[in-house]
Amino acid sequence: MQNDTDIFSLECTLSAFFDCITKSDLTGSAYPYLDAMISIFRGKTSHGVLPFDLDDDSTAHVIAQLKEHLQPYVPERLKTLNMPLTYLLDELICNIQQHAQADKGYAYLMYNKAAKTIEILIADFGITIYGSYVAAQKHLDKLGDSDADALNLAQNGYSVKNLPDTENRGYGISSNMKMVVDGLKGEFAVLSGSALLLQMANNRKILALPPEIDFKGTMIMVRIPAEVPDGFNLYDYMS
Amino acid sequence: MKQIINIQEQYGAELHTRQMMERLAASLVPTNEYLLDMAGVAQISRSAADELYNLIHSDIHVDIINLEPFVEKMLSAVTKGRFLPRQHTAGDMPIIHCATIGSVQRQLMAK
Repeated sequence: MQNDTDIFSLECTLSAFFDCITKSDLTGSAYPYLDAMISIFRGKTSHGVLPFDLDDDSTAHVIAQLKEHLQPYVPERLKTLNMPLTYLLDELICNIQQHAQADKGYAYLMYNKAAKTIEILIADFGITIYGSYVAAQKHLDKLGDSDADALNLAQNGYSVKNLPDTENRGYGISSNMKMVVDGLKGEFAVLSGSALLLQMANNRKILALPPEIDFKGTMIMVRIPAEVPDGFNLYDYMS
Repeated sequence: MKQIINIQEQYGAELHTRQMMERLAASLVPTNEYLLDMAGVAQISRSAADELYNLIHSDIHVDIINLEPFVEKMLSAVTKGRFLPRQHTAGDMPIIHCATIGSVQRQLMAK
């Protein structure tokens, strides 16, 4: 039995998403997946999904644009939200730049007035998280042979970085999930290839999806309350 | 004499990408000395901070001044990240195999 707040949950959004993609022709393209997610969000907002190039100027521009979407709704809260939100967007977009081998990223952010939450979607049509481990030849002994195994490694902080002069910190997904779920009391989901990771306060699992679902890329969905919880300290999640 | 570079003027108040710092590094001459004035730079991504760490520890003589609190914390975090072994404390997540969309839907709603 769902209560009123459940209908705004990330589970419900994802459920609508899977309803939608079962009606789509999924052969050979990742676009129907993004279209399905956009159509679900579009019912709630006039903002579209922003495609962006992966260069410096485009990245800075898209982050500024996403935050502008919030300005009319939560101008006061944006002061306290700005740092964690920018940190989160930076991390998710940098992941695409560094690992996805994609030409473009896709970003979406909206304020859900009814639920008083901010919903974020960052997607790429790249090589998936599994593909990133294989391309970097990292942790192949632990990787297994599925997208679900790759998501499990990523959420546990196993690095896909293959740059000689960078910190060995992992995909960034693990620290971002912790900040979103534990710190901001939000929800986090990742669709990559044929696996879906869910991280919520009371629902933490990876679903290995049926063979007909195979998203050629990675889509991260985040839902956070518009109000930063008392006691939240961004610095706790930066180490 | 050190050449002062005002980072906010050149790159803005938010430094988002690794490439931005790589461009800065590429613009510096190894025989010169530089002072990077970070006043007004309120936000830096982890990747940009990681690349700034590389620059500070490169052969180019670079000092940084006027770090805003967030930027200072981020630089400290990436410095620690260079030397501390990676912790994998989250543990494995349960992997549930779904043969049908219906079973995906059920799993989404199951707590």
